[in-house]
Amino acid sequence: MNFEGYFAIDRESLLRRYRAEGLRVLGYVCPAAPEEIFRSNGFVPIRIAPRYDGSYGRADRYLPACVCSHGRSMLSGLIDGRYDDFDAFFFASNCTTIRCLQYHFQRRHPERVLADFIVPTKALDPQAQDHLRREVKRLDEALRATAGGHASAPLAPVMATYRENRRLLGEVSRLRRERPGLLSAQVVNELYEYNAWVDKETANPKIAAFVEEVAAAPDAGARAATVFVLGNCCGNTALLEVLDRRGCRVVGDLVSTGEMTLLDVPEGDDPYAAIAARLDQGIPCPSKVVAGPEHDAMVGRVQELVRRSGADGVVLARQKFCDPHALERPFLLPRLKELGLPLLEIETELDLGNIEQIHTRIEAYLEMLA
Amino acid sequence: MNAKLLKSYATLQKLIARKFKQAIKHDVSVWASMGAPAMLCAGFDETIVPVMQQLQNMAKTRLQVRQAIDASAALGYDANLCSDVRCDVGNLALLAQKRASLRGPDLIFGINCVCFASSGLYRKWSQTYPGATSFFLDLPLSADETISESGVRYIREQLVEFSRRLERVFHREFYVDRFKAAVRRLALNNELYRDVLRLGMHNPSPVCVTTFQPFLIPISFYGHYPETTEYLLELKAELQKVVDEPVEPKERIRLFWDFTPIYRYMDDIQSVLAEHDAKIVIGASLYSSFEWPSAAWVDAQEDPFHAQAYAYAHLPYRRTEKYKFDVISRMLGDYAVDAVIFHASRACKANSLPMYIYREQIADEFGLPVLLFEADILDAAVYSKSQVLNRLEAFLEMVEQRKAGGGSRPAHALAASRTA
Repeated sequence: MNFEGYFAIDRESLLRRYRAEGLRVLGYVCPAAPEEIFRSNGFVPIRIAPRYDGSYGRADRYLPACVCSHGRSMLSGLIDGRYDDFDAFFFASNCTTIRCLQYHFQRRHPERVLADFIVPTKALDPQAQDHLRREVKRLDEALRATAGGHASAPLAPVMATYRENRRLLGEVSRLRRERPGLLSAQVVNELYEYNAWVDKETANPKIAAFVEEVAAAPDAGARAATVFVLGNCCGNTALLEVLDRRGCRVVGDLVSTGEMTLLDVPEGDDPYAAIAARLDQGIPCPSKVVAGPEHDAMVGRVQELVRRSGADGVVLARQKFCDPHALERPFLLPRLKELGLPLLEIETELDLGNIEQIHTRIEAYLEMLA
Repeated sequence: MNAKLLKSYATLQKLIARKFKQAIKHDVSVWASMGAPAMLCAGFDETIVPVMQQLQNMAKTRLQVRQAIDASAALGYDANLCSDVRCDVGNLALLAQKRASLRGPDLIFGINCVCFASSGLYRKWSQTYPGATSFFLDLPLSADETISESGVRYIREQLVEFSRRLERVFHREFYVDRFKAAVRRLALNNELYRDVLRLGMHNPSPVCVTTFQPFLIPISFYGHYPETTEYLLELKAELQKVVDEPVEPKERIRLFWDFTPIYRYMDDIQSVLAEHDAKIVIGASLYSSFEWPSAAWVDAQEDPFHAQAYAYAHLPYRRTEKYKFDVISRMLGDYAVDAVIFHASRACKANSLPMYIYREQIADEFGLPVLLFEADILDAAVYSKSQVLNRLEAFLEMVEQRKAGGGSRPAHALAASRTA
């Protein structure tokens, strides 16, 4: 059964609908964003994850060549006016490239960048989490105080909607894992893009229906080699489709535009603490500083996710010039090798300029998996 | 003026040598990144001196740096990463190969005061020496022009927690008054250092940043020690004398340099500058001291942990790009700068990336010429000597012609009109 196109979206129509409903559109970068806070304050938070559009040329004036293509594409998009329709922007990352991008956004849209909140660099740390809780609360209070004509909603129901969204995506993730071949990487990418753009109140019923259809669908036939993908695609999910088409079924991932955001933590009564806990503990991104036992715990979780996926192999997809992931690599590689699974490391950029080399390496990797 | 001709240069060399010897001889071995809160040790024993790793990079030869960087590549460190970190990691590997009984640290202090990359070094140290007690001070980035109270509180909480952990390491009580004395002295030394840099506002400037780079060492690495106070007082007095009785003619071109120097290659650049009577009178790499609170302010605080947290939160490196540009703008005016040189170090994205837009802003708002070239703080493979020197020559000739032809208004006048 072919689910391709199931989650096709028309971005322009979506934006028009949001406007008609009096909603403001907020573009955010990096998964450590408190979406629930924005949603309850009349924004529709949309994850900005640019795809390569044929050229980084416009960004080259402002960024040297040793900057990730994610950053360069985003700056190109900004200069081209692709984000001019957004009402606000939010940058949650400690990455230096993103910080620089924030400045560019602030210069072009001075009143639109919500610059009042920064995620601490330390993760899995009680003090950092407490600071984060205070910052999340401060952000919410600031947004409610300046809402103007836009209504603010209570936080609890919004959090419930987002929890349900994560649960549903978790179901998709489970189906992908348990029934490889049924969901192509293209379908899953489309789903995540859909989920990035569509408000959760609209998205949840559609995803729920999708889960039911997939669960009822017959199996896909002969089993292909399966892989778990981690790394910093940062929007370069086309690579997952390349793997898929070449015969490596992706059954799980920890990329920031994929399943990384699904790692949930128990919630208590305090919504701010709950959001802070999830952002602090749930997102194992190397842009966070963790060392010692906490780092071991974080990498241990990664290993567990790979094991749980049942994948035949692991693909470490790295975007060139990404410092956080490059710094993490010497620590991560030995731990991935402990899993005893064939490991393929691919370094590329958004434009997949080395696609033929990638094809060759995937073919050799498939022979290893066989 | 060549810094090495100053009498106080001998004092500086002795200070560095003494401190380094103290560091490696003490019973307690402390490794620290630049800016890390190793001064907490003063709460137990004021004679503890940290081994400052970056200091060792500055002392190495070009060949040693190359060998260290190659060693880091063998460990899996990407060639596009910060060369400072790669050199540090490589050094560790090479030392371990040479001496199996290398004495590791008892305490490790890390901080992210400048950039994210230093955290990678901290992680490597922690992994290599799991028996050491590690402290990483997270300075949250400031998101806008004001400092978050929660951010200061977060820094303070970390410092307090570190002091409690150190009590368990040293098996004795942390002396808050000794710590306060260290915090106060650090503030005092920063004041003195600012006074020294402000002498650069004179023309001729007694301070030439290219040759004065070693003067950063005491304030960056040994900022809370009394020897640093003595040295800075001596340096300030000597430079004041040079201001009162100049030994050189006025410089024709006053330059602002951002960010890091190109270690071991600045002599070439200095030669070209000297040929054009050009002098780097101030640099952004020096501006960490400009926002540090005064010793009097520290004295007035009951809680030294809060005082130190407040100082850390105000470091320009952790502020927005807009804030940093405002600091640069003030410097351009205060130091009557004629032109700007941006060294976009491949190793240092945190400070290099904004340069590409700062150069536009400076040209638009101040009408000053800007030269931006790409090289690296340490990695010679990324430095093209002939290209950089040729461009520098051409740039200085252009600046001379502009000045001779009546060019743009002086930076300080433009700065005044900008803020009016």
